[in-house]
Order: sequence, then structure tokens, then C-alpha cells
Amino acid sequence: MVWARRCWIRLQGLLLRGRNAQQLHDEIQFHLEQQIAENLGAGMSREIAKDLRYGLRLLATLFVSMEWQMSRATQLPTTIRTTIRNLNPDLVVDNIKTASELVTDTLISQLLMAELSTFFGGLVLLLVCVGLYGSMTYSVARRTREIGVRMALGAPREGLIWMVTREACIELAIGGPIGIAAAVAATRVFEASSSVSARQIPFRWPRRSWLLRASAWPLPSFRYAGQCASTR
Amino acid sequence: MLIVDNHSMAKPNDLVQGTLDLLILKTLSLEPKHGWAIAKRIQQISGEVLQVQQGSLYPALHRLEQKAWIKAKWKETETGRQAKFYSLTVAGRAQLEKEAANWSRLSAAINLVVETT
Repeated sequence: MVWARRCWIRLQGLLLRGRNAQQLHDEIQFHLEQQIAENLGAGMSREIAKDLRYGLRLLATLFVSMEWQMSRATQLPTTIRTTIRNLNPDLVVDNIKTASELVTDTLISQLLMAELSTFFGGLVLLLVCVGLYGSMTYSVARRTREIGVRMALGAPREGLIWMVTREACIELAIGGPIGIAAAVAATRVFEASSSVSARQIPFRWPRRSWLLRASAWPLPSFRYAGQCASTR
Repeated sequence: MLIVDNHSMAKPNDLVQGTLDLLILKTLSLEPKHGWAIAKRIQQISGEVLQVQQGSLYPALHRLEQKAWIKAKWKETETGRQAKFYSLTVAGRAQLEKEAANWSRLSAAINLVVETT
């Protein structure tokens, strides 16, 4: 369950960045409002509080703009520095970061690992599918003559389809568990040699790719078996 | 996070790295709280010595959420304003016990060294 929750949270982190940034902004806004309310309770004048609220709204708008409009990103630190210099010239402001940047900084290794794993996992899956398709095409093409003879002798179409598909299923039954076991072992090795847990990756692609490979295995064989069975 | 020295008014120091997670988990072990309430609770319980800044608090909360040690839900506060409430998960409670035990061992070891030498 923990693993599933982590996967779900990381997927959200990857796919819903705009929504997450907006939620973080709302969260910070709430925090600042509470701070202003506390300051008011401690004796801060309402005029200053009003100016602060206005400033916060302005700042919040700029921060959201920074998230979504990169062209404004370079202007934001200058705007903040100018505003603060006008309020108090003695204050030195350095290293301005948005809340989202701070959160991203703390999760950077996990995010990077997640994105790279997703990319390479997808690439591996694509290559595996192409390879399987090619190897099944070749093996069935080699048996075209045999299939033709069987048809000439009166073998039914369904029987020929099952003949090719059955062989693929046997290969799957042998290769699938071996592949899954190898993927589990590879994941353990990866976890042991990396500071990032494989559980911190949205999909365990090595394992997933083997499962998908296993599930994809009978599909090309079924299709080519059908094509061969239609041969006249 | 800052340690504020109220007596000497010295410059605040950085707290030992990694303790913020423990403080947050411990604070959330009683009931779900939003970020502001977590910061205030830590400040209050520590006798105004520990002050958690937003720049540390929210990245830490998101990091803990990513590790599935805490979960978040948007709820209404007493004032009717929507806020993100964090609560401890089962995995988080287990992690809290582990980190609390580590902290006890570490602080006891440091005490031994300080008192002996």
C-alpha cells in the first residue's frame, strides 16, 4: 500500500506540476495570512496589514506568473529587490527563490531519477516490442511452407492459429518468470547501489517492462498466425 | 530551521540536519495540522527556541509527503478558509518511532561525550 501511495504521489508530481504549484502557492498564502493575523493581534496597525495583504497578493500573482511565464522570471528578483529597497535600504536581499523552487530543490534527485527512469523505461519497452514483433515475424515466415502444407492437408484455420500462439505461450511461461525474477534482482541491486530507493520511482520500469513484454509476447504471434492461416 | 537564543540574542544557528523531519512527524502524531499550525506548535513546545521558517517547512512537508510518511487533505479551518491539513500515515508512525529511537541514541551519545570530556 505504501508503495502504491508513493507511486501515485510521484505520478501526480510528474503529471500535475501546474496544479501542485498552485496548491503550494495557496498554502503559502494561507501561512502568510495567518502570520499577518497574528501580527495584528500583537499590535500591528491595520494600515500596514492592509498594505501587506496587497503586497502579498501582488507577490503571489508575480510568483504564479513566474511559474507559468518564463519570460517574466528574470524580472521578478529585480522587482522584489526594488520593492524591499524602497521599504528599507539597509536590508540586503540575496538568493531569491519561489516556494516551488525550494520544494523542487529538496526533491531534485528523486524527480530526476523518476524522469530518467520513465524515459529510459519507455524507450526499452518500445525497443522490446519492436524486437518481439520482428522475431515473431521471422519465425512464422520461416514456417510458411509448413503451414501451407498443413492447410493443404485440411488443417483448420483455428488449429493453425493455436499452433503458433501455443508456442509463444510456452516461451512466455518459461521466459516470463525468469524475466520477472531477473527484474526483481536488478531492482534490489539498484536499490543497494543507489541512495534513491526504487520505490521512489513512479513505475518500477525494469519490472514493468518485463511484465509488459510478457503480456505483449502472444500478440504478434497471434496476428501472424492469423495471416499465415489466411494464406492461399 | 532556526534556534533562537533568547538570552544572549546571538545570531540564530542551523539545527542539526534531519531533525526537522522528526519534529514534524512528532507534531503530527497527535492530530492533523496545516503548515502554519505545525510551525507554531514546534515554536510553542520548544519554548520559542525553535522557529521553523517557511523555506524549510514546506519543502520538508512535501518531501515527507513524497515518502508517504504523511498525507495531505484540503479542509476548512475554523475561520472557513481552505487549508492543506497534513496527517501521519501508518508508515509515518513507524518512521517516527525509528527516528525518535535514533535521536535518543544520538543525543545520549553526545551528552556522554560532553559530560565526560
